[in-house]
Amino acid sequence: MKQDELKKGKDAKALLSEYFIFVIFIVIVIGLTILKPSFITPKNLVNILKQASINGILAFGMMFVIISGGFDMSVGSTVAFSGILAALLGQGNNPLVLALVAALLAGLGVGIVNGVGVAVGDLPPFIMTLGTMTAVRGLALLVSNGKPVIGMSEQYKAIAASSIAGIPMLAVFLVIVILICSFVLAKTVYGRRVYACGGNLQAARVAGINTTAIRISTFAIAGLLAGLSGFLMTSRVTIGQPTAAESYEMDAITACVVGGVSMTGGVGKPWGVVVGTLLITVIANGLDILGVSSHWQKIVKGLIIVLAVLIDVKGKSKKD
Amino acid sequence: MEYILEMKNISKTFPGVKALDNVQLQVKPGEVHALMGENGAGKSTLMKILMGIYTKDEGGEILFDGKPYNPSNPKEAMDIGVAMIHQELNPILDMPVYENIFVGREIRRNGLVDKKAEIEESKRLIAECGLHVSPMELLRNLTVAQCQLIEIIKAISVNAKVIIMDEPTAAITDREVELLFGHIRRLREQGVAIIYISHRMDEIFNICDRISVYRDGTYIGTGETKDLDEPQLIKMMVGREITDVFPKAEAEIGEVVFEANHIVRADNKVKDVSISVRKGEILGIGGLVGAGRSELVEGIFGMHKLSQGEIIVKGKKVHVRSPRDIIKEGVALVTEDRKFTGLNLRGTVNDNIAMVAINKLLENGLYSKKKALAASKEYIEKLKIKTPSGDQIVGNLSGGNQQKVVIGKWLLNDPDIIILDEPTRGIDVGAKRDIYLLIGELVQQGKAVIMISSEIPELMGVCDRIAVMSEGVLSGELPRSEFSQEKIMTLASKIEV
Repeated sequence: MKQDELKKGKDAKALLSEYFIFVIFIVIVIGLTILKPSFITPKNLVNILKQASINGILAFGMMFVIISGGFDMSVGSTVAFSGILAALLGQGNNPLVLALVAALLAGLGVGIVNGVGVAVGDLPPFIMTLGTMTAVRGLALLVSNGKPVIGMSEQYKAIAASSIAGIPMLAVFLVIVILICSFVLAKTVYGRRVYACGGNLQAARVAGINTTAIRISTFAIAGLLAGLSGFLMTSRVTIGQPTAAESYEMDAITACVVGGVSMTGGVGKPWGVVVGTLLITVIANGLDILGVSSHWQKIVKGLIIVLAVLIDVKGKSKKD
Repeated sequence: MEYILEMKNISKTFPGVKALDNVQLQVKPGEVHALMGENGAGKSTLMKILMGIYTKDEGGEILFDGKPYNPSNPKEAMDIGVAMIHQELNPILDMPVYENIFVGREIRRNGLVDKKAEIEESKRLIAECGLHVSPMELLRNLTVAQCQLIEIIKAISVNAKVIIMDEPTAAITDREVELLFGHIRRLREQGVAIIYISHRMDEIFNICDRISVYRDGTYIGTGETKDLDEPQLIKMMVGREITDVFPKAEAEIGEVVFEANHIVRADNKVKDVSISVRKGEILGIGGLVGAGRSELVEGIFGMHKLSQGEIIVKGKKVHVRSPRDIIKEGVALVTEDRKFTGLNLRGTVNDNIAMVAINKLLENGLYSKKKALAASKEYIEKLKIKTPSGDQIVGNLSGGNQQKVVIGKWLLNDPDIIILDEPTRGIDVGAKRDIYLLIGELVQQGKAVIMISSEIPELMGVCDRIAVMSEGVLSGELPRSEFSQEKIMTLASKIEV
């Protein structure tokens, strides 16, 4: 009897710690609505979705890498590089698919290089992707000659500007990415093995999993999604900037961490990353509406990261 | 076909070391075949070759079911029919039980993971094993023993023809050992061959049909268990005769130097336990795994919060908030898990020995490398640590030698009370004996020793007095004159009504 009660209490606590971030999210949304009713207008919500989409797509790529026990610093540079390529190929009468494919391939290429360096070369993910972060930024500058690329076709610019049934096209892309990635992680054998690699690499290897391939693939997915983000970003800002997307990797990592993805690997749920992404965007947007300076916004963001991880660590038992 | 598995003339050279030299092994279907030998004898290397984790040197051959067998990774080995339960547990802590059981060979339906089927199958396997856990439970919430049984379930469920078990009972209780043996016997009847690696003699004689012995990378011989006895086996393993397995040194027992009274841990894993030890005395703490023995000493040592309790060292009441407070008073704790709490595995022997008593290695307030080297050299000699030099990385030493490094690190601090938690776990006969001798020397020098062990014969052989714990409470205490296996077992399995 007493045992049962004890167990129940424990479960309630576990449940709260699991959905804590979701609760926080709701509280913040309600708080902002009370402070500034204009926050909840459809126009602003659409705006939030738009702002969240590129970071959301990157965060989902990052999620694969972090769950498998890795870490990717090169995402921002990859967005810039693939964005430049898309801008160059999206000019004039070129078919749009050319720009898309080029951006995706560029991202995929960087991802595979990262993955091979980490899984085959046995380099720490931080070092490997720090290297590609720097080098790929150089590539973006090289390809664009250090100058912004302009003159994209109207068709290309229209992608980010258009919407379906009131939902911005960018958000549609995000939703598709979310659905596919969630399905892969939750339902497929591959997804299960990504968790296994991050949970205990040695155990995964001993269980006969090709850990090298899994690890390369997670970086490849992150790269591919960075390529997609580059393509979309160029359409959104209608210009290819070699210096764009600076520190986007940090935003993606923030979304993952806030969403409960463990930096030590093996733990993380797609819905958490969705909430994480929305939470950061909503806070930034809300502070904007409230007229808080961007300097303060950074301080708040920093506090949120530390707090989220603190809760994550405290919620776990000591057995490690 | 007489043999399911034959390994002939197997050699393996690592840079600078010949780990295996023309070694052989023949396993019949439906037998439990023990591999014995001290650490470093080459058993693990041989098994890693069998699992495709290492590749053997050129020459020599392996036949499985009469056909050449050369797996290049564990998956291939498992597909052919060889599975292994590793000595180092391999749980994925943040995955539920059922996912751990099926990791790497997920049940599929339409190309996707069939979660329902996995859960059902896990339930069946768990029930068959007599284990009471939900397949949905995270491994993080299981005890070490339960994790071990999950590993065993994993290996059994592959339907392998040969299962290698490397120290499968190192962390489980006697009752669970019996359950495991039940499974082994059933597997044997089904014609599965088991290769069984263990340092525990009683288990070998209980369950194994034949025994192969290795020493320093060479093959010594194979025999039927019924034709061998313990002294013969030890002689084959060590290469010399060991007459007294548990040397007991005579020491003068003096006044009480350490008392821990009414210890209650904040997490309630220890409930009102009092122990004391005298100068020159060896106090054993017995009990089943999970009885709260490690929890008790870790609580005393300031690693976990106490909600009640009084600690008196050499007549002085000590308020312990962190290990520093009690180390200062001359108490040392050699923890059970040397890899996590005992050693810096990436550091050298010198670094590790200097870790605790760094204050003794200063010259003009600065760390003196010269003093550190001298100290390290002294303990390498004193404790007979087998290492090429003090600059060797500790992670590369065998378990027994690692344990000696931990002990050396504490001895340098010259403690008066030494607490040893499972000091001989997973180390071989020769190294065990060295540790017993060392403990004897320590009490002869007037130090007091508290030793936790799960091996009852060891406690009975070494200790002057044994305190037994069960479910977080002290269930009884026996003086040496009253030692008996039955009494200790009864106390250990005493359950509060």
